[in-house]
Formats: sequence, C-alpha cells, structure tokens
Amino acid sequence: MNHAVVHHEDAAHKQESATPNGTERTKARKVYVPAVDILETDQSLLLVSEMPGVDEGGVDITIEKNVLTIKGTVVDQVPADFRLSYEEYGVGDYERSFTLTNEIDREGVNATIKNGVLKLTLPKVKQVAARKVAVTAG
Amino acid sequence: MNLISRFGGRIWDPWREIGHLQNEMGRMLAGARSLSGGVNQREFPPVNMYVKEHDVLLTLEAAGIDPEKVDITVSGDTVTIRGERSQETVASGENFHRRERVTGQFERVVQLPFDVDPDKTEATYERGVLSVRMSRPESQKPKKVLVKAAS
Repeated sequence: MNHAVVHHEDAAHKQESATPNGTERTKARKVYVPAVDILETDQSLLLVSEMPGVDEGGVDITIEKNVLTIKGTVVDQVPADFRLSYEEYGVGDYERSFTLTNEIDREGVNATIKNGVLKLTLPKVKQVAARKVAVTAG
Repeated sequence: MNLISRFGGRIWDPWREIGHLQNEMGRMLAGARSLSGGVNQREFPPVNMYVKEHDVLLTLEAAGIDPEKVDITVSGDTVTIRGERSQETVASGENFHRRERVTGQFERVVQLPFDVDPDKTEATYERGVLSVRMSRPESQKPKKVLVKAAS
C-alpha cells in the first residue's frame, strides 16, 4: 500500500491470530481472531462467529481430536483501481480454535453463514448424564 | 458529539489531510457493550476509505446487520451511516460462555476528501461488509483549460 495511508490508532482492534512458537504462516496475508459469542443450552452449544468478508465458499471447519478450528477466507470486495487512504481495520482471513469436551456430538455439528456471521450448532451427546458410582459398605 | 471540522492546511496534499480524520470521525454507539477479554471498546463498525480520482469508497465491517435498517445520509463532503445490530436472541435455559460481539445502535460520521453527489451514492451489503460508493459531482470535477494558439 502507499505510504500515505492513515492507520487509525485503534486499528488493532482486530487481534491477529497466533502461530506456534518459531513458526510463520506461508501466506503473507494477515490472519485475525474472529469475535465469537458462545451460548449453551441443555441440548447444544451455539457458536456465533463474526467473519465479515467471508461467504459459504470460504469457511473451513475441522474437528480434530478435541479441537474445533474455524477458518474463514475473505473475498476482497474493493476494486483494484481504488487506493486505500484511511484504515480502521485490516483485511485478512480468520482463524480460531476451541477445545471441545466429550459431551459434544462430533457427527451432528451444523454450520451456516449469512452476512458474514458464522453460526455453528454443536449438539451434545444424548447420554452424558454423569454416572455416579454407588459405594456400598463392604 | 458528531461535530466535524473541515480539513485545514495544505490543500495541495489531500493525503496528509486525511490524517485529521482520525480525530474527527464521530461515534455514537448507544447501548453498546465493550468487548470482553481485555480489548477496549472500539468504534463499530470500523471503516476503511479507498479513493480513486473522482470516486470514494467506504467499506464497513458490519457482519450480521439488517441492511434494510441502514440509513445513509450524504451532505456535501460528509456521510453519516446509521444502523443497528440486534442481539442474539437468548431463549430461557441458554447462557453465555463468551460474549465478544458488539450489539446495539451505531452511527459513524465520515468526512470525505471532497464533496460528493448524493444522487450518485450507491450502497451494497455483501458478506457482512457494507460498501458505500460516492462520486464527485460533475460540476466540481476539475476542468482542463485548453490553451489556444493565437493564429
């Protein structure tokens, strides 16, 4: 970008996503941590993540062991002949990971994205009621 | 709260003047919550400005707003964008583990580098990004003066 771009003092409101120690990403594009709301009900966990610039073609959700990772690839919407002159947010992809407990039914995870808001429903396994072990006097 | 002063100083270098914008953008985020997790309350939605010769494009990262409720007013070189992002409806028995998204009414006032024609303003909302494209009015476009050679 050209040198005259003004960066707002608070432009860092989007937090960059970390990589493991000593490693770097192969792509030069920045990766941000998307803001999320997480709600819990009796039956499921609802994760609402903000990924402006991402549509259904750019979302990637993986569950590996007990780690849920959501990734979003942004579609750049600015015509090439426009120059950035003032910046409050950085344009980049999104990535964030969460650890899941065993009570989540991995097979039943459902995701939708609309207007840059990703909604993930993570149902709970039906029978997770904690089993108490009765101890009888010997 | 939303008072904006005009650019001062060197007219010959508009890019420098845009720097004044950062203190001149109004914000009113009634009822907004600040981010949890240690990040300071931020302006919502954040705005980027892109410029082409006679055109200016604002992009606002505003995921999950209702585009029908967005109100854009253009006057001279000032554009005001108002809207609302409703809260996730919480049914009984639901509780939040994390709540980082900002909700509520918002208003952003942006001063542009030049006057724009309100009739030529176009706004689109795609993938959670609101784009507002404006153009300099024909009457204010710089005109070239041809120098005629005296015959």
